[in-house]
Amino acid sequence: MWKSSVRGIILSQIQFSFQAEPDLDLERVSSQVFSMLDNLAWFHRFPVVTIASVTTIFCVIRYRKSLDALSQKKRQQFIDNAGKLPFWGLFHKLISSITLLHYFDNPVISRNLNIASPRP
Amino acid sequence: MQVHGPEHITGEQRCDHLIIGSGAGASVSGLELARQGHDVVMIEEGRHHPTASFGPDIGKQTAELYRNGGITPMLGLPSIAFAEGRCVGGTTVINGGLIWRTPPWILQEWREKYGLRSFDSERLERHFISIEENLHVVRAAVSQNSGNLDSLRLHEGARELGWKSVLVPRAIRHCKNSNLCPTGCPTGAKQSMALTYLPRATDHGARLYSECRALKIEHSGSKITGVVVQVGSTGKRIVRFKCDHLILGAGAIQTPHLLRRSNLIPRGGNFKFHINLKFVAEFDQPVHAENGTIFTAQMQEFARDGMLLMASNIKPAYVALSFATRPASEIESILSRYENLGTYTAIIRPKGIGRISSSFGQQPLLRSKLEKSDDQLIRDSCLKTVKVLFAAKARKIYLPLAGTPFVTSCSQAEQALASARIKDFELVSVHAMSSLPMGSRCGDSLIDEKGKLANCRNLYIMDASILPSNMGESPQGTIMAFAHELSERYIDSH
Repeated sequence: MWKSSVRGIILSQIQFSFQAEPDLDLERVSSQVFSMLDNLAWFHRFPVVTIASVTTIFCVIRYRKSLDALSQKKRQQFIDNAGKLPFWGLFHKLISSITLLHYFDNPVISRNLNIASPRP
Repeated sequence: MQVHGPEHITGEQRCDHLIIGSGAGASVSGLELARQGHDVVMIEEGRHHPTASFGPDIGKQTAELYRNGGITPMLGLPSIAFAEGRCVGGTTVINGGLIWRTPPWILQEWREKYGLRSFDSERLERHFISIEENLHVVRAAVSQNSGNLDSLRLHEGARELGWKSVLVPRAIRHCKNSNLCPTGCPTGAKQSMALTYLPRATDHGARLYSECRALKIEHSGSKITGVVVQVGSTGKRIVRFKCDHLILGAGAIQTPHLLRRSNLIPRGGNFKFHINLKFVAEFDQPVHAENGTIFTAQMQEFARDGMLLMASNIKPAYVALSFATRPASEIESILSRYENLGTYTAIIRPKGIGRISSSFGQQPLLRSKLEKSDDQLIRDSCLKTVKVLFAAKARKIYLPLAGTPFVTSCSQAEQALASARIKDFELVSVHAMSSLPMGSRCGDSLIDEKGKLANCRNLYIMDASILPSNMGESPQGTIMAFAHELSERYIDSH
């Protein structure tokens, strides 16, 4: 249940026009994010799972769908509103940071960004 | 370098001198003892990653080389992301390789305020000369053709304001500007412990074991008899390392954590740390910051006030990380001008403290508590950074403030900072120290000036834990110089 909220945040963070292969990107980044969350000490993992579970419950009550199943517009709306909840900021920042770190680990994306500038 | 993996450990191990850790402090002790012909075993919790295994995959490397994959929160208001290395070579594998000599005014402060009497510039001088030679310390060029245009801009901005800016002494040899220092140098240019002190230590007969996590120190009265070690990643194999003498070099967090779990020091304890603030500046002209390398110039005008500023790494992932709280569309818009961007890191020396709780299992729980003066220091440091970057002809600056758009003038920055709450600042720390400070005036100091733990006959500490306070500057040089000095004192008495 909690994973759908994490996946929702991942989806909202990788909505770039220079995506390499959207489905593969999501799969690759999600597996990295969940693997890193699994390795957290229990006293860090427990609040993450709790906040993610509460998020899922709120989202289902509000939209009858989990966060990862919402349209991009509704998902962003929900995330913006959730910012008022305690500890949400920390939770969101944690997931977003890991997501971005792994998302840009793809040479195709660097190429799409036209980043490979010549060395002097 | 011969590193023994878990498969090489069968049954109980025995040695004269056991060293826990393989970072800046532990490696120095390992080499010094092995060179004198002592029987030395070093154990490291992380894996051995040879240079050939390093590549451009920042995310993968971060997960491999950092403790907890680089996500260790220090809880507090605001919470601070703390990062340290966990691999053979320790944090020296993933830092910028800055080797500063301990500033004389810091040593004076440690002497006068903390009662650290036997460490002065004259005594440490020969150790620094040796470290600089062993690590090939040089000051990289900062010029139009050096590929470090972001540092050059910082230099120019500081000069424009009449502020002090210097080239940084770094442990590098034939740097190819891969710009990957924080995730393992793929060319072997950065002179980490894994490429310098550790191979020499093993050449002199030291045995180095990887993937060995010390769980508990065993003692009989005041004598340490050995260490219980978890071998490999499965957590199922437990092996005893018996020793006559134990040296801890596991860093400012893990060293006191292990001592507390072994009931050798009281529960609860503080440490000091530095805070990093990251800024992204956009210039009118391309700076091609990716073609340069990390931390080549440093603005030191406010060093004594507790603030330094350097150009830091730029990679799309690092830039994006600075904007983790912003929507994807904004990140995309910023990254579309990637070649005009430079990232800058201000290092702050707060008065606040961190706390280490060792009661929650194998991992320590870290908390931070900043003081009111730190709040002001953070805001002042932001303003000074903005001022020097605008003097360097930056067009826009993104502040380390959640939810704040870019600023285009100092007055805009002042407004944004005035209305910001302290919890809005995005803070990172990569330097922890001073968790078991030496010095007669360090409260109830448990460590004497030989690095020996009080009430233990044969346990010594040689890492960042023993520094009397945070020093406002990258501490690797100081940790190594202190470890050299303490190793000599140790050898003299054994």
